[in-house]
Amino acid sequence: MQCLPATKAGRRYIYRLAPTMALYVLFLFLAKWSFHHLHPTGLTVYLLAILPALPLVGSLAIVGLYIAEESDEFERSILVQSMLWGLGGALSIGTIWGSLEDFADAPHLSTFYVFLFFWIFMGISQPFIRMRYR
Amino acid sequence: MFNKDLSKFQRRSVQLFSSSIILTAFLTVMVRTWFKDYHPTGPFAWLLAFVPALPFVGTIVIVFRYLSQEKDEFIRAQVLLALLQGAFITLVITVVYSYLQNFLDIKGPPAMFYVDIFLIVSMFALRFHLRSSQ
Repeated sequence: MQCLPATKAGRRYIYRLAPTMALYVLFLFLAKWSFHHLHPTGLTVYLLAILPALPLVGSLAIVGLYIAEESDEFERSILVQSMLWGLGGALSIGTIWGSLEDFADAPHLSTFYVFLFFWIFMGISQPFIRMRYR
Repeated sequence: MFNKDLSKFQRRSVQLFSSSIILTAFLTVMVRTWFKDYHPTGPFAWLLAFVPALPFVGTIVIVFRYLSQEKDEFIRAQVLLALLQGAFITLVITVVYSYLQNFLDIKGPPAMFYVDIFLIVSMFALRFHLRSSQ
């Protein structure tokens, strides 16, 4: 299959990530449905609220495993650099937007966007980092 | 690793890194004061809100410059590991907090909070790795 990564670690990364993302959709649906229909109270509320976050935390751990297992030094270096750019971009946007919210009455943006921006910046930065080595 | 063990390049990088963090904090306080006293509006308010994020972007650039020029492979690996651990913890806190915020209507922390978490966790991780390797 051409769409799968060439290295063993890369393939393992995909095989781990796909079910984790499926689990995320399932947990998100479960949490939303429970809040709407069961109206939980007490500790269950916190547990249900955190439930969809667990697969996302897992996805970060999967990236960490990929970094540890990837034998191709170049690919690993590209990923690590793009992760740092991803975090830098996400935290920069978070800082800018936080100031705008505090001072310029900008609309509130969920904290979740920091995570989302991390992946977006990470994806955008990868081709640019690769270009540097051509 | 103590200050006396640092190479000229490492010492210079630490100085630049610390300066950019201090500048970020200083500009944040200045912008806050400006907004409180002069209540700027429109595009100027948005531009002003950008200012504290600029030294933070500079911090990321300094980190990359350090990582690309550091000759000691061991120290470079330790710094990289600490930064990735800082990124991991920051993103975990972001994701978990965002779901608590969405489902339980908890007020979000200021955006700069995540930058602080990243820097503090990375700093402690680096200290820990360097001490345990001695």
